[in-house]
Amino acid sequence: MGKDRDTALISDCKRGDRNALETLIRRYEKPIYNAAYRMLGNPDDAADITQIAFLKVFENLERYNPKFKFFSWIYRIAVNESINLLKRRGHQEPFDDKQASNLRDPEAMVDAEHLCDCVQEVLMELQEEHRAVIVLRHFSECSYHEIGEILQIPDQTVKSRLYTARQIMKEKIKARGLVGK
Amino acid sequence: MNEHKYMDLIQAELDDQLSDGQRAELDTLLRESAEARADREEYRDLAGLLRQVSSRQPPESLRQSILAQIELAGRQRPAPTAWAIPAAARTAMAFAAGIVVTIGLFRLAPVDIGPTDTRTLVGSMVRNQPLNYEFPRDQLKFDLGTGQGSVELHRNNNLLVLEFELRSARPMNLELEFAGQGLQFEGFAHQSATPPTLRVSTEFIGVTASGDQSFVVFLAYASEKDAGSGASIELYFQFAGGQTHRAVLTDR
Repeated sequence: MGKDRDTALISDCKRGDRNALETLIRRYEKPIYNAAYRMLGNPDDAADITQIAFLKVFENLERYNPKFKFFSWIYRIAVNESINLLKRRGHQEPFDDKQASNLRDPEAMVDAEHLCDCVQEVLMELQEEHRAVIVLRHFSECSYHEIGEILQIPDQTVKSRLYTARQIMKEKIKARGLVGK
Repeated sequence: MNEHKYMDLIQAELDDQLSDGQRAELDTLLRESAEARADREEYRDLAGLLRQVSSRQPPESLRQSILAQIELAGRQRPAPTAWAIPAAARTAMAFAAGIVVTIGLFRLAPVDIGPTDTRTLVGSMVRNQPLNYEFPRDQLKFDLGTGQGSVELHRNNNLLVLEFELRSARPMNLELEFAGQGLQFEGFAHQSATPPTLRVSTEFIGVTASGDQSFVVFLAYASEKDAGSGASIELYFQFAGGQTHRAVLTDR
């Protein structure tokens, strides 16, 4: 009933029900924020993108087609806005050098926080299209078909892009001594 | 050895996309090739590493900030979005447009079913808490043709008690959603020879039932702070696979 619940919520949102609006935000705020964070590597940017995504959704609510999943729509906006932000800046958001050098120290990598930082560092080294499929598959747990809907690419392209992204990521992680030991 | 072949299979395995035939094929390839086994191990390590990355909590102020921005945007432009339109006008417009779903319908089509007699209910609670409450904090009654009912929300210290009285000749799905409000499932009691089926998670409770049903769901606030905030519980009703209707009960 997940999709139906979204449809009911959106219907109420369209009628100006603030409570429905708040519920929709509560439901998707965290996944969207996390997807944006993994795309951008920066919590402030992730918060900005989350706000932009919700604002765009509600500005275009009248045009929402319930045939499509709401979550695909809002994820699409969040991923596209993240990529646009990276492009506007013209370069990848630099990961702090000091932090990066610590990450290459095996002893410093033992705790979970450093592990997360290391993975994020590698994610930021991927091309945006590869990063997007990794984020949607492994962090947002979307299926091939859902990723295809979000990125508006065929399922087969999702699959091949995901394979390539994993291959690149595996080599980078391996170079840091975290896999293939 | 066809490297592409086993790489495809290894990656498909990561995504739980292997058919039985492909599984057997992969097993054979792995038995025959040390290189394939090493590659598979590395991909599994990568997937394991990604699973270990915990999700981040958004800033506490983010939700309010989003709400404020949306409401500001609504005030700055006229319809069609209705955020700036007074409630009475919104209702009138909704009716004029023939929009008759969810809570408006619930509250405008009352039926008199009467309160649940909790003394006759059987069930269990996570903790034993004395019940002592009088007036409901919130309530709703509805008549959707295929189903009728009433729900009352009571508060007893940190405990929320939701009393359901439902009548439906056909199967009914009900979901209570309370994610992100510091609430947890505390117990369930029913009064029926064929009790409803219950599905409980940390964020919602699902109930499947048919026929006349009287039951109570207990939720508890996890902390004093959460109890002070007061929760809104989303209810989604679906009768016989038809349209989903939404309502909200608020602890106010």
